[in-house]
Parts: sequence; structure tokens; C-alpha cells
Amino acid sequence: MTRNLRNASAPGALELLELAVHELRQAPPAAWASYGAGTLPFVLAFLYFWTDMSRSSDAWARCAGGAFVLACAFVWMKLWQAVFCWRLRAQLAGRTVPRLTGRQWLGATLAQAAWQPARLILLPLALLMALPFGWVLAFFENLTVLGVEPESDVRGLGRRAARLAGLWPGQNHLALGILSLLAPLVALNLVAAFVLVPAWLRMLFGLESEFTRSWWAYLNTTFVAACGAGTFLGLDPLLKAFYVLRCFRGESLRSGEDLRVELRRAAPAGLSGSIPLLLFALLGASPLNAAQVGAAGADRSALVQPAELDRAIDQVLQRREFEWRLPREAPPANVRPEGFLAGLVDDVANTLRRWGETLGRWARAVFEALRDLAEKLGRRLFGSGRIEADAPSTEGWAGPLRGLAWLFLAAVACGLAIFAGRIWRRRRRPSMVASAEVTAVPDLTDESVAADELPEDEWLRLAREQVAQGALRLALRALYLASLAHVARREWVTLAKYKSNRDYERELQRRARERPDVLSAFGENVTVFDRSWYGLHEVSTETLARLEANLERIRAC
Amino acid sequence: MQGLVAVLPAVLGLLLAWVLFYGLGRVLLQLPSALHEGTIWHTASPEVP
Repeated sequence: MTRNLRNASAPGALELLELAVHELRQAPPAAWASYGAGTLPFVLAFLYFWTDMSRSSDAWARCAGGAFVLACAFVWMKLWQAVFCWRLRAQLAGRTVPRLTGRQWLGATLAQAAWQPARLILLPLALLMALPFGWVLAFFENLTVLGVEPESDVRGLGRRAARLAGLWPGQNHLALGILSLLAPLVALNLVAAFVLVPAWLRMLFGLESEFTRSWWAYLNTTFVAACGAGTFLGLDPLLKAFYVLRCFRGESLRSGEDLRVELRRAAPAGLSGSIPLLLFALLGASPLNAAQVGAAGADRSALVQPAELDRAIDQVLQRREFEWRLPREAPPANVRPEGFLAGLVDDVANTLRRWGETLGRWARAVFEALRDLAEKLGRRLFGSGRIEADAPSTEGWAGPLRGLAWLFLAAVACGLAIFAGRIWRRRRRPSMVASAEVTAVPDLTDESVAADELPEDEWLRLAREQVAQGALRLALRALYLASLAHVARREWVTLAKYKSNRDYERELQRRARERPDVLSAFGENVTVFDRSWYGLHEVSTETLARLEANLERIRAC
Repeated sequence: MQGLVAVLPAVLGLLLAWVLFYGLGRVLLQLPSALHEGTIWHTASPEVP
């Protein structure tokens, strides 16, 4: 094959990438299962290994073992990727996928294990040198694509992969350039997803995580590795499909398989007999007479009527998704009324009419569905024979059913109207809730009780109640909390659960240093309270009187 | 003998992969924990308390 002919038959990189996307979309679930069965375990093992090596305290002891497992997972991945590519090639060639024999599995495993580990060192080296990267990557991807072949041995596989890697270098490098531009976008999307999902979880469900507490949590190497692995998972199938297509086209230069596939696809089932005739006509081997062509044309017209085809095309073109392809055309002058207001009214009327038609269509569809359901139910309940015997005709039986359906629809409509009315009334009526101010009495024995739970007067009232009940210790605490509530109200201290009494005292010294009376009175209250509440000092009525007097001194300032 | 010739490149390939992944593991081990955990950026930035 000459170089010119080869270049002439070279498909464009963009065209091949589009075809690759198409092939991936058409790929059967078995092909995707093959890909996932190989690639997901390796990616998970890789991320585990990465995390283990970067975080675990005894990672040194596990490095060699982990690396061995990862090497096995790598060969496993390459084997299943070869199966994936093999299935894609079968899909491309339009042939069924035969069951792999044990010998084929073994051969593919040995070939992948022999060749593919070299990519781990040769690809980075080629990338460093930049120039040979495209050829080296194509060689290793071709090894994956051709990996499951009945007759291939390790050396033969290498020769074929190298030959195909040398084909159409411009196309290969252009496609790799496009994919390398796509890779950062995929990575960016992944990062955005990793950032947004925790934020949404916190917003919707209140779930806090490391990522919502600090942006710095993203700047770890495991996150980078996870994004890299996700990008690889997103782009690698496309890369594989691209090289499957390249290999298919490259091998077809010798075998002509692509032509056979095109012809098979072009031939509908009913025309399979006319394809050989067409082939002979194209090759000039056999003259076709007009009668034969006419017969083939008649067969074709029998399949699709032109009028039907036109109608189908019109229907499709009227869909909104194709409207953008059509030129924008103003309606004829005689159709649209003159003036802005008249045009507006006309447009609104037309829109309402279209909505009405759509609603009518939907209502008819619902009604017909209900009628069919009722008829089916009737047949099941009474049996078809009886209905036919009793009813003079279908119309006679359908009449009451139609009435039943209308009744049902009316009941549903009434229910909806009542429901909507209730919601409307509830929204309009202002909700008047009789409420009385209820003040919860804090439990003074509870250590978590804070001074801001009651105003200072309430604390004082509570203290007097406790005195009346003989609970002097609790009265002491209520009095102290009253003094604390007072200094907080005057904004000399800011109440917080984590602050100790000494913290409040120091805060007061800072903020109310110009009021020495307050400082001494509050300081004395803190001392008295701490001695009795946390210490073993007795609480007497004199102690309480002293505390109350200090509170009055503070209030007087 | 023929079987050994077929299996030997595969075994060598597996060994190569093992060595390379082991090297990657050693590189990861050599990197400081502050880099792996991202705390190195905390100290680099004055905004973070």
C-alpha cells in the first residue's frame, strides 16, 4: 500500500473521536462491565495504596506487599481492558462476540503482563522527551486493543501494535492534543463536584465534614490522587475507543473489513438480495439492467412510502430541539395584526388557544386511559362472554362506563378543588395563636445553667424562693447568677459557656476599670460563690445578705 | 521449555510493575506528612490561625 493511498484513507482526528463517542454510547452493558471489572479494582487499590503510604504510621512495613497487589491489579486491569476493546471491535465489525476459551484468556493475560508494565516507565520517559509520546502511547494502547486475539503471540502482538502505532501520526497527535485539553476540564469538573457535594450536604442535611470546616482540607495529596483517578476513569474509555477505531481502520487497509461492515449496515433486511447485484454494478463485473434496478427500487418504495416519510420528517422538524436550525422568519403581514397592543392580544390569544388544545389532548388521553381501564376491569369482573351477551354492543356497555369515568373525574376534580380551597383559606387566614409568656425555671442544680437564661430580677425572685424553701446553697447560686446577668446586661462581660468565673472577673477588670466599686463588689461575689459552691464553706443568711448587698452596690454604679 | 519461554516475559513484566509501584510507594513515604495532610499550607499562609 502506498503512502498516498494510506494518507488519503486517513480519517480525521475529530471524526474519529466523534465515532469513538458514538461507539461508547452504543457499547453493550457487557463491554462496560468488562471495563469496570478491570479498572475499578485497580483504581481503588491505587487510591488505597496512595492513602496508606501517605498516612499510615507503619506504611514502611506494607510498601512491598501493597506494591505487589497493585502490580497484580494493574495486569488484571489491562486484561479486562483488552476484553473491553475486543468487545468494542466486535461491535464495530457487527459480529457477535464469541466466548473466550481458556487458552485465549491465558494468552491474553501473558501478553498483557509481558508488555504493559513497560508503559509505566516508558510513558513518563516519552513524556519527558515530549516528541515520541504519541507513538509510545499508541503502541501500548494498540497492545490493549489487539490483546485478545485467537492467533496472537507475544512477539506478533508487539509487531502489529508497532505497525499500527506508526499509522497516521498527525491524526494520532491531534486527537491526543484534544484529549489533553479535555483532561483539565474533566479534572475541574471533578474538583467542583468534590467541593459542591459536601457544601450541599451541609446546606440540606446539616452534615458537617472536614471539607465544610476548612478549604485547606482539600489541599492534601489523597484528594489530588482521587481527582487524577477520576479524570482517568472519565477519559480512558474514550481513549480506548479511539484506538479501537484506529486499529480497525488501520487493519482494514489490508483486510477491507470496514467496507464489508459499511455494506452490511447499508443493506436493510429486505434488500439483502439486491446487495450483491449492487456490488457487481459498482465493480463493473456485471451489467445491471433497468428492470433489476427498478425491482430494487420497487422493493425500497414498498418499505417506506414517500408521503409517510415526508410527514415523519415534518413532524421531527417541528420539534423544539430542531427549531434552532431553521431560519427566523417573520409571519406574513396579513396574519399578524398591526400595532403592538393588537399583536400582544393576538399572541396571548394564540398561546391560550394552544394551551387549551394541549390540555384538551391530555384530558382526552386521560379519559381514554380511564375508559380502557374501566373496560378491562369490567371484563375481568363480569367476564367477556357475559358482557357481550348482556350488552347489545360495545357502545352500549361503554356508555355507563363513560358515565362512571366522568363521575370519577368529577370526584377527583372536586377533591382537588376542596384541597386547593383549604390551602388557600389557610394561607389567607392569619394564624392567631393565643399564647402566654411562659418562663421556664432553670434547674439550679444543673451545672450547665447559664446566667442569660433569666433576667436578673427573675434570678433574684428565684433566690428568694430558694431562701423560703431553706435551700440556701441554691439561693447563693441564683444570687450570683443575678449579679452575672446584671454585668452582662451592662455589657461589661460577654457570657459564654467556656468562660470561668475568673475569666468574667478579668473581663470586668478590663471593661469596667473606671468603676472600682463594681470590681470589688463583683470580685467579692465571685470569691464567696466559689468558696461555697465549689468549696466546703457553709452558706448562711449572712452570706446571702452580703451577696445581695454587693449586687445592689453594682447596680448603683 | 516452550511454556517457560511464554511465561517468563509475563513474570518479568509483573516484577517490573512490582518494582515500579514499590518505587512509587517509597516516594510517597519520603514525602513529609505535612504535605500529605495539607498542613504545610497552613503554616505557609498567615491567614490561617
